[in-house]
Amino acid sequence: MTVQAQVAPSDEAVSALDTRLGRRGEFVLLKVFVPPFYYGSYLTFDETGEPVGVLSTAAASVLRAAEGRPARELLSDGGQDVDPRRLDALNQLVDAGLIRPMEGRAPAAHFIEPDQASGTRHTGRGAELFIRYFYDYFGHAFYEGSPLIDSHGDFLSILSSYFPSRETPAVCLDAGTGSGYYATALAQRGHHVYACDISRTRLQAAAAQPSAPGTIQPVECSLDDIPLPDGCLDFAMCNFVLEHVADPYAVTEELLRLLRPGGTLLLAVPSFNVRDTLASWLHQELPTLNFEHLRSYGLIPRTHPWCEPTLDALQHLREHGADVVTVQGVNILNNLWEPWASAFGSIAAQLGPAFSVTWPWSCLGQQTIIHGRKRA
Amino acid sequence: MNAGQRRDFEPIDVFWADYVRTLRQAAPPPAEPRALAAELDTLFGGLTTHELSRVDGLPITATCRGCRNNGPNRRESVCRTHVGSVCGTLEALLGVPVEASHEPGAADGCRIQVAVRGTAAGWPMVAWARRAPHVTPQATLQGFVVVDHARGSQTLVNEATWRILQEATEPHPAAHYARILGLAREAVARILDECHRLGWVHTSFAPLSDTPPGQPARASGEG
Repeated sequence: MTVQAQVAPSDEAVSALDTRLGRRGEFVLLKVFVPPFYYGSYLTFDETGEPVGVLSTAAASVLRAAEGRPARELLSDGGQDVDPRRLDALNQLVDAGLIRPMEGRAPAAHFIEPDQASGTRHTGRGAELFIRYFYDYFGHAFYEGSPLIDSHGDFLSILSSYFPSRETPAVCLDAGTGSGYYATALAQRGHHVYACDISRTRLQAAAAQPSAPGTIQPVECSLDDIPLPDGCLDFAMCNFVLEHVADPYAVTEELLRLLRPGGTLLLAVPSFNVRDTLASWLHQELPTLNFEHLRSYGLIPRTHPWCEPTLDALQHLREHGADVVTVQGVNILNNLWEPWASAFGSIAAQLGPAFSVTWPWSCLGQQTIIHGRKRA
Repeated sequence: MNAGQRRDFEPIDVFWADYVRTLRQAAPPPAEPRALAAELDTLFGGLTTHELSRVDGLPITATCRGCRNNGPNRRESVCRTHVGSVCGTLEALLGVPVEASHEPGAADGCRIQVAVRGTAAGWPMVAWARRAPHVTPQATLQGFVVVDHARGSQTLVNEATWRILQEATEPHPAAHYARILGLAREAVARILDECHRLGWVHTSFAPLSDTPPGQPARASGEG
């Protein structure tokens, strides 16, 4: 079937424009911001959890409207005239089998995109499906050692300064453990580690890591619903995971539930550094995120459509029973151009090691480490 | 796989080709088959191991062995992600859009056959390497030296590297250097990779002919 629009429509075109169209099944669509090709496009999963492809903004808009309505309504975007852009998009969706003639109610489409009301927080069935589909697919395509899932750099040396002491074996949790890199580091310091992940393939890799003298216990679960009792942990970490989950606040609330009073919380997240923030202000340059990131943190809201204000995250921790002990920025001035680099560099020289933990610089690192403690 | 203007619906393999090519354009992949295969192995972690027939001419055949996805529960989306990423990597290397056919195999692995997009039967493409203008090879009492005027450095090199750089005042394919210098083609490809990494040669891909890239090319039958 091809939907046609002509100046003097033929009977066939009129018939096609009156055909009611709907989505072939339930879809989950993630809005990605990858310039130059896929800025504002939608990575799309079908109802079986398989990725089918990427839709342009126009195609996503047509798919959103395909609720069993006549084709002409999908093409006019509320007006009377057929929009040729939407017509092209509709025909490609029909060819790809994502939209088809349909009477009655169409299956749902869930859009994971920045939202005026809730920012980058996603809840509900669409968010649940997305997390399950995406990580099941990703976990089957990319394995341990892939730079797309295991880019640790030298972060262990930074994070390990926050780890519990070797002298006192602790009960720890590595939320979103991936291949178990940090869970292994904790276990090898003598701790018992619950390694949680939603991906079974990732957990199998984590469970195979050498853990002596400690132990690693894999737990397959969603990070906002971890099957462990309240207050059972001395230490909980979540390293470069909050940018991937549907609802980061649900995850941090779950970690705080599991920590005992006085227990340590360690969160590491990507962030927009000084250069990114200035570039967005001065040149309207949009920082690039990995396509699979649902957010990055930053001091200034709206630096990017997926920007989650770091101060909101800190406020949320405080409201849910944690004291924020330190916020550390890493690679704060990376790639900053002159004369800004010299100006900020002199501030860094004056403050010395305090620079990386002094607001606002601490919230403007390319990576941000939040060290908290659950209140008694 | 890229064809200029984006369509409103791009299948998942096209997305991965574009994404990986964009990532790799900043750091072009190596042009030596074993080094490139090792990079592809790393990109997917432990998914599979790659073997490449060649990368200095098309069609290229990539054979994947021991793939974790090649079993009774094979997921087509994983294969398409893999094939798209291989295409994106090769596009970053070759500088031309490519397309691939994928043949899932059993015991002897899967085969991905890559050809230049829009040409019949795989237009032969080869790497043409030319010495960078800021580089001078010199024979000194200490040995063979490459002077990098941009870095202000002098580097001792082996004779083969020196001879290739001496000869590379005009762009030539690896086969040319191998033939006139009497060196193994694989060894020449490895040296050119290293020189490319150090910025000592500029590499471009074009049809194999007796005309350098940038000028009208006449296809020849040389392999």
